[in-house]
Amino acid sequence: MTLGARTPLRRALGGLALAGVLLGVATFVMVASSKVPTAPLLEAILTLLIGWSFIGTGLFAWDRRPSNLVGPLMVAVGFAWMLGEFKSSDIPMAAAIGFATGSLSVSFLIHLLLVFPSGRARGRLDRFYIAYAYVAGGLVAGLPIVFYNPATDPDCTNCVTSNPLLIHANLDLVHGIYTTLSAVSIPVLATLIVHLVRRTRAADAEERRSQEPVWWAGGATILLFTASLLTNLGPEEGTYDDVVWYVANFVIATVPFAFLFGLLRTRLSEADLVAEENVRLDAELQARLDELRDSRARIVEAGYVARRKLERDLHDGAQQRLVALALDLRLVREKLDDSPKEAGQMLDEASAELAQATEELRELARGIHPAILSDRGLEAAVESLARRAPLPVEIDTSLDGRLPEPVEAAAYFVVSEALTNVGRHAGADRAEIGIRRDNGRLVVEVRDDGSGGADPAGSGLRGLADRIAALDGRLRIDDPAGGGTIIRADIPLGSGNGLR
Amino acid sequence: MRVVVAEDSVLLREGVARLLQEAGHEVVGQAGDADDLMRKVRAHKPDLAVVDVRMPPTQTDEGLRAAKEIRAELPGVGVLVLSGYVEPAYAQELLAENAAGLGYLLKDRVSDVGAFADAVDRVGAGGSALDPEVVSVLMGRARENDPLDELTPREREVLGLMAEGRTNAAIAEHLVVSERAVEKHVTAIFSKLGLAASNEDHRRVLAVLRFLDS
Repeated sequence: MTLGARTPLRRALGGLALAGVLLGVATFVMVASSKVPTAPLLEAILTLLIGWSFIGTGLFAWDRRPSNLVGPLMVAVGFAWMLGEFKSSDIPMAAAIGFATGSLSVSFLIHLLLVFPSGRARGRLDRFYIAYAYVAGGLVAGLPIVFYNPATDPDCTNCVTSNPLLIHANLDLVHGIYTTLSAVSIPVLATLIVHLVRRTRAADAEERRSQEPVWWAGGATILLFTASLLTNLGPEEGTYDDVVWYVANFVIATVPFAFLFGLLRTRLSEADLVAEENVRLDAELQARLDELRDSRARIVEAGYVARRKLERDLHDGAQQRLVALALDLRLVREKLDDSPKEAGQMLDEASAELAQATEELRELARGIHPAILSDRGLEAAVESLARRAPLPVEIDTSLDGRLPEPVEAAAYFVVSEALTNVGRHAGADRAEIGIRRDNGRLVVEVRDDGSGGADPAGSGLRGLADRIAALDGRLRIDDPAGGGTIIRADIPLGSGNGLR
Repeated sequence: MRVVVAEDSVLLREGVARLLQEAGHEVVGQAGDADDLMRKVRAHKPDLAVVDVRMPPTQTDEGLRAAKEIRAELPGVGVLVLSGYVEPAYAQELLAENAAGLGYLLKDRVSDVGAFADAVDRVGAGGSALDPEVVSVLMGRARENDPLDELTPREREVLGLMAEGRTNAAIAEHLVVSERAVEKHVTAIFSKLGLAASNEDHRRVLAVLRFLDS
């Protein structure tokens, strides 16, 4: 695995996916347990099917074509669909929200049909239809909820009994708005179908190929909606309404797949390709900047942590010993005349204590920066590490001459940390270190034959990854199939890493 | 014995000089850097130069380079290199061709007066002295099919003392056994490790060192 950031786009899509799942579950529970629909379970299943297929395929399309509006619109249809199904709930507030937003999914769907597959509207007529779809489906169809009192509606036999969004009850006004809306919308939608069919006819073979899968599904959906709008004009509530409704639902569930299929079949135009590439590069750049900022913060933090640790080590180690020694020497001074033998013994102890303190200081200095690294370079320093390693280490190096100091230091600490890990966790019998130049980069590889499972998020490896990232390099940790672990760093030897 | 001491820290330089004087040696010159050291060694032609590894101007390995220069120019002058830390690589580098009259010790050893005086005597007389820490790193190195596993604990002990550059007599004294017993151990070690036996101690050091770091 590479130690890198996920792009912000991916993170956002992940969040939308989670929201879609949650809304879906909530809608399903609400509809399935409701007393309003005649077949609650069937309706709940259909709702979930349609909502999730739009959201799922939409997110996929969004990820693949991040600069194309088709993906976001598909996701919007899915969310709006599930929200609209709230109208089947027997919870008054949910039902009111459902009534208000019930037609919004059709608005998004029409927008989607018009801009497919480029994501852009072509001409004023397109823009008129899109505007009409949002005004009619979002505003005009949603508005009547404030005038609707279900308690006074004779058609509403087993719906909710109250409407929290009610401002002024006027059932006639509600019916009037819906009848007018249907009467205006049916011809508009009919001309829209004609418009779309004409456009398909005029399209070249390439365009048609990508649109074919969409038309039967999208066209059929509009047709079915037109039919269902007709029910508002015809006789009230009959089997005809239900049949039209369910057939429309099933057809709609297949629509997103047709869109996705068509979209992926579309060959991108030159301009689209550039736009796609720009979006991708922007996302990558943003991710790199985020990663850089995080890593810089961690390096600063690691610096503080290292200094605190150093302070503690000095304070608890050498300094304590020296203080104790000073005390001992005072005591020796007093004993000197009375019991010289005891004094001599105490002096021996003091010497031993002092030797311990110097030993600690030496190890501390070695950990901060090994002198052999600056004196003799990377190969000698790595050999020194290998000599002190708790397991046999084979070294294969082919560097000639010295490398820039920061690169040497980073490479040294990679080997040092890797060998420490191997000794501590891996249960390995041996390790191999490879160091070489490769195309203007330094490649350092430490592999062992242990049980694998090095944790890239562990503070040691995380710190190393930051250190290497600061030199524009990369750290990878692999657990190959044959067992063991490979830690591999490669660091550019470019001019930026030389002068410091 | 006539000695030149090179060490940039005045405190430590004075301390070492005092120690040497108390052990009955004559400190004929004190130097604070490598150039100064070379001047004084050339002028006094002492029996021994005690040299710090890190000295001005670069504070890296001047002492090591000066030691090699002295050995090349004035083979009669023994050189005892002192260092704040020890690296087997430096020991190899220093003792590469000829370990006669060369020593490489951790600076801390000066506080172990007896051992330090012993090393001074040995190197001044054309023998060798290698710090026990270098030896323990080399002997403790993890190996596959470690040939040192063949040795008895006593033989390992003898091998370590040999690597430090001690004579059979010194080893016998250290382990409180007869010199004859040490000779038997040495023969056993050389045969087990497949090394060609050598009577001269400084050659022996080299052979053991090469073996341990191969």
